[in-house]
Amino acid sequence: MLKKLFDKHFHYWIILPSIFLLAFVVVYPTFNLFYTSLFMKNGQLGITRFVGLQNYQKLLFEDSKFWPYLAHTFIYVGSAVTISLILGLIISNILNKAIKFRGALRTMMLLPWMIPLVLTGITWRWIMQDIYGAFNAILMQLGIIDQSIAWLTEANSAMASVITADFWANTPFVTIILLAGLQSIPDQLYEAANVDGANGWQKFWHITLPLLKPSIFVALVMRTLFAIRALDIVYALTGGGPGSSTEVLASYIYNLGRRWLRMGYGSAVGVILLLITIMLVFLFMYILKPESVKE
Amino acid sequence: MKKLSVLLIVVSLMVVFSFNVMAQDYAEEITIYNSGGLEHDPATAKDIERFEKEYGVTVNVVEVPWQYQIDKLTTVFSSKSSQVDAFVGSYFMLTNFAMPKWLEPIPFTEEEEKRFSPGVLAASTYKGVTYGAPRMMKDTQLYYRTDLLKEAGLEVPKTWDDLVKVAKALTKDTDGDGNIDQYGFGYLGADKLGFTFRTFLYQSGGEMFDESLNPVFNSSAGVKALTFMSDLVNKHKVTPKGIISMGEGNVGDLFISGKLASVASVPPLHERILSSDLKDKASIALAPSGDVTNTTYLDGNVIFVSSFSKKKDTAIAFAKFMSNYQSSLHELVVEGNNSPNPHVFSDPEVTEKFPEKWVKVLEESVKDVKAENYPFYLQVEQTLRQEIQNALNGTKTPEKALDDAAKAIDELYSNVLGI
Repeated sequence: MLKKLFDKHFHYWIILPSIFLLAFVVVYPTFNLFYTSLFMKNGQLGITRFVGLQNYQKLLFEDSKFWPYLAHTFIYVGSAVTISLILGLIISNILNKAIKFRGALRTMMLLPWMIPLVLTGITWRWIMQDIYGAFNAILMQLGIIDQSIAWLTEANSAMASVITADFWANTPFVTIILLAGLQSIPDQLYEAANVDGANGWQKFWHITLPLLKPSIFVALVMRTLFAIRALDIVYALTGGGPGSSTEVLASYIYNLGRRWLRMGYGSAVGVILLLITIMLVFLFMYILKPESVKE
Repeated sequence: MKKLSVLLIVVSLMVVFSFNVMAQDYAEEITIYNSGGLEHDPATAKDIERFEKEYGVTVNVVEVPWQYQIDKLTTVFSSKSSQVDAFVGSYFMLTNFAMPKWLEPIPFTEEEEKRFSPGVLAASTYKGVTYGAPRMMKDTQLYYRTDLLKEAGLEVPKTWDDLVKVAKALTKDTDGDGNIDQYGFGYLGADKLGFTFRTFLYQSGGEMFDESLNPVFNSSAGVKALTFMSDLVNKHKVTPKGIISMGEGNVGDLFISGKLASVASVPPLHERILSSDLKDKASIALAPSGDVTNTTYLDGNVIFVSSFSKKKDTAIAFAKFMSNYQSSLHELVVEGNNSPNPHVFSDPEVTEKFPEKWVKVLEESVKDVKAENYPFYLQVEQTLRQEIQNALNGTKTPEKALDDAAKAIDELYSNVLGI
């Protein structure tokens, strides 16, 4: 009887462990995040009280920090991801060509990615300092500026510093994915294009880019996921300042949930960030996925 | 003779028995969280070793970067875990942990309490109960270059006005390239901006909160303090603009490397000076006075015992041991940290190591320190720091920045504490 049942539903039994695993690492935490967001839960005061959707109401309509931090998140993620994608595309194309020391260059290119992000943040904080920072020294030696600039003390330049540190650290990741994608494009297509008299730009636009779309999609989605929840660089480089000009939703969640133990409210911000991330992934899917997959 | 032998045996047995009881009173081991790595904390390491030897207790030390200590401990204590018996924390953590009843009182005797300076003891006391054993302190002193002052024929500044005058004279473009190479004065920025502000606030006669926990740092004294901090950077231009993002280490580096002629900083900067090229070119003085006092804000290390510990007696013995005379002396002599116990300043080890003037300044400084206890230190500090930065980079006026900070903190307390 049991054997019959087992044989009949064999395919279900096979995937059961995976379902349990997924339920444990994905479904339960997600459900718990939403469930916790329905409570006023302050670990420091030991208070837990059901408040329904009040956390969301407060967050969206009363919290003076949420919307500015959301705007900072979009600026940070949008700029850092776009720049690293463009740079990744350029670098991967260069490294895909038969150039000298290609192997060594590929390894060197990975170095920034190997450094822990907190260290990247600390290093860039030194680089951007006004008095002893290397960035000012280089600009002054090149004659671009004649006075030191305190990059980390103004809102815009501090955000630009965070974005710079981020794409410096994460461009290698994009490059690796795109390089793998480039290597999967058959040479025959380029040879045929050569026969047809296509120039470099035409080959890139009509062959490389369309065939690289799946890799770009993967790189874009992964980079966005990493950047939208990134906390390390912001914390180590600016600490969210000056003022709150580089505070992002990830740092807000960290402060609310981890440091201030306002678990319920922090979870509500987490749910909103999760929804934004899901929407972004669907948007990328809609724009970049091949037609066959969309259907 | 026989009677005497019996008596001796009985007494011996009693002594052996009582020693056994004493030994049994203490746990075999305890776990403490230390603020930072022990390799950078040689005095703490030395005293832990002494405690282990004297009490026969093994101390397991978990090294936690000080920036994350509150986060880590909050996570541990909110789950009522007994994994931490005691921790080396900061004075400002007191209310954070005492309010939710996560700390065990330290039963100091009257005699033991007398060891500490009153300001330090007050900073370790919450609602009349002492929860912290003061180990060392970081109060603000003025560190200055004696050679530069002498060269310019200037006296050590004693007031804020003197400070501006001296700092202006010492702010120089030494190589004539149009960039300032030597700033006259610096203070602690970044995560220590609140620390610096509180010192200037107290010196102007202000306070952070009133007795009902209403924020009052936006008083005229507060505005004066923040205006002074801002003016040093933006009006007098004697303090580098980047100070906003420089913490204790960075500012110390600037002084040691000659980029700052004077700095309001905390021990153990003098320890760094003693082992640098500035050894004979720098000295310390009391922080210049504001309108009212030269009180400085008190930070430093204090030992707290967890109320969830299952080895409280051992942990309390540890806390008391780490704050006794010998331990305070080690902090001062080995690491250069100021002592909450004023008696150590006359110890030969201290007078031998530090110039006489430095010892006098440190001793005097300890007498006039202050730290207010208030809840949600981290939230308050972050809000305050953000608004101070807004004032320093000109985004807001000092008055507006402090009003906004007070409003945000008032809302926080009203929402969460129901005040």
